[in-house]
Amino acid sequence: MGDIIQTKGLTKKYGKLVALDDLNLVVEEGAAFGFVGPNGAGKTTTMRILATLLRPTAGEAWVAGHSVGKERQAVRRTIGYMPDFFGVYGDMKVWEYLDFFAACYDIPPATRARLVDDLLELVDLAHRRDDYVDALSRGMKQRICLARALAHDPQLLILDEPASGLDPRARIEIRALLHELHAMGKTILISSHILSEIEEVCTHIGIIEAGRLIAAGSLDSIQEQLQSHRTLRIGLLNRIKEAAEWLAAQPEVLDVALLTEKEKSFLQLEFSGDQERLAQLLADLTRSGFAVTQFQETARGLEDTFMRLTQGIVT
Amino acid sequence: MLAGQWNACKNHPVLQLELRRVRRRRWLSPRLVLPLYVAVLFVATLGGAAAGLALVQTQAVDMAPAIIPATTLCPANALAWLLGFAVPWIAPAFTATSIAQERERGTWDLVRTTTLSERSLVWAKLLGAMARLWPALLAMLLLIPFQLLLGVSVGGSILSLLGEGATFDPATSMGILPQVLAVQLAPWAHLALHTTTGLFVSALSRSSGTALAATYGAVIALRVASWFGNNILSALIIVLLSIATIDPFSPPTLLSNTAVVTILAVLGTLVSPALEGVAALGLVWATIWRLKKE
Repeated sequence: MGDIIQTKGLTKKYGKLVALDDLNLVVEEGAAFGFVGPNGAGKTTTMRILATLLRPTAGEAWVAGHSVGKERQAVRRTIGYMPDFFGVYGDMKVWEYLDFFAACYDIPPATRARLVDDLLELVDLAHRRDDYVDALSRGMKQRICLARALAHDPQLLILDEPASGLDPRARIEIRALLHELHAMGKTILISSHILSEIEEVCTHIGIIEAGRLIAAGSLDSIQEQLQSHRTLRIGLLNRIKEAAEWLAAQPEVLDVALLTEKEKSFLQLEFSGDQERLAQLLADLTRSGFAVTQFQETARGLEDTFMRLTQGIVT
Repeated sequence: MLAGQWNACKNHPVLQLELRRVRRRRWLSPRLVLPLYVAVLFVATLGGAAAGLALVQTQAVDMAPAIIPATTLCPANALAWLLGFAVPWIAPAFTATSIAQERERGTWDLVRTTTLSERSLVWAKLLGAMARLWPALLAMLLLIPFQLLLGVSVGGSILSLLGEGATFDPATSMGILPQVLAVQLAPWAHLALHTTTGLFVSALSRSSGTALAATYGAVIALRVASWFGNNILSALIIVLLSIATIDPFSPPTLLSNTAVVTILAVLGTLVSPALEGVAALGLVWATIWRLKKE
């Protein structure tokens, strides 16, 4: 699969303020790409440029091979955009709202009625078809806006903080919807402050800070790159202090700590060896007569990765 | 090709949205408005014709100063002048908020990322704003024939009587028609200039409040500039007439001189609306350009 998004030296300045600084971003077709960064990092600016709503000061961006600056109509046909802040036409009914946007994408009237029904079905709002948009809850408005972005069956969805301000149920519903859309083959570029959500939905991430892309790639590859050592959690049936001394004497073990959690003691150690050395360590531990009940590598979450990579710089 | 363009314009979703909003409001029923208009036009025409005939029959040149204000006070005439003045000043309030309000509400970005072109969006917004004033615009349009009738019957008669021998001459009376027609263009030209100014300012503004204030500021500045421009133009015409050895302040004595006076007067009346029309088109183009450059 090719790249659906490509930016080269993308720069956006507002007077002296540099919102984007030489951003080079590549998103593969079919990926669910999470765009992560602190407030003011340049996520929304990047998304607005890709959505043809903003012109860069320098650099160029392409969506599905179309230049964002020169082929705006072609780009607009390719993308479905959902901004972080959006309004609705409150005087429209739900079906009218979707019908209006379908018309804006030049979809013939004959096919619009069926399309509106399908979209409402997809976002689970068929039962609110004849209600006024203004009467919907915030979560429902997010879903109707997502349905609007899908009206012309775009290849790429650009979603800026789609779950912000939603209650847990609405958040779960949006997440399920994103999973479904990804399974349907849509490429998704999504920004969010809720890192656990990005972790659950996305296959790839890009971390941006002060307008610069710090890291980008698949979720696993970024976490692997960052791991200089592993954190292990070892549970033992008995002789826990002896085991701690034995482990501390091993060459790749950097640190051993005896911890207690819910009245149960276990060992936590920092280990610098690779996978093979890890297997060897377990074998040696059991061969030395220690009764191992738990031997587990503690996974580093996206939050940890994010905290390690960013410095909290805001432009 | 024209039919295709008309259909594209008629079916434009943004225009349809604006029209739907207009339709949802309760207006006076056309069943009531139409007979009312016919009645007003009938009475006004009779009144105008009667005044003209009175002038012709009595050859009473002295009556002219009394008849002119009388016809100006005629209800239909007064309505035409009132609308001609008020509508161009009310209309920019609708265009000034058309884009800025959508920005404020957060719906503009959603529309902008669809495949609707900037050009079609600008025209749809302009026509949509105008649609909100349809009763006033319709009244202005319907009053044009009445204004023409009144202008030719009364104004033409007076001009004819002021001529050589103070006798009624139908040709001279009809000769005033281009001038009267040109005068009718003025409010429409103001309307075009004011509304497109509003639209352009709206495309630049982030909030509808700012857009409204800036639009009216710009329109007042334009009107002041136009007033100065008109005075300079009038002075220029007087200079041109004196060069042609025609005294514009005394009654024309020769047919050729009358023709020259008429042509210059029509031109003088037409230049200002024409310039305003060109400026309005320029502002539409500037609005489209601004949106493309965003």
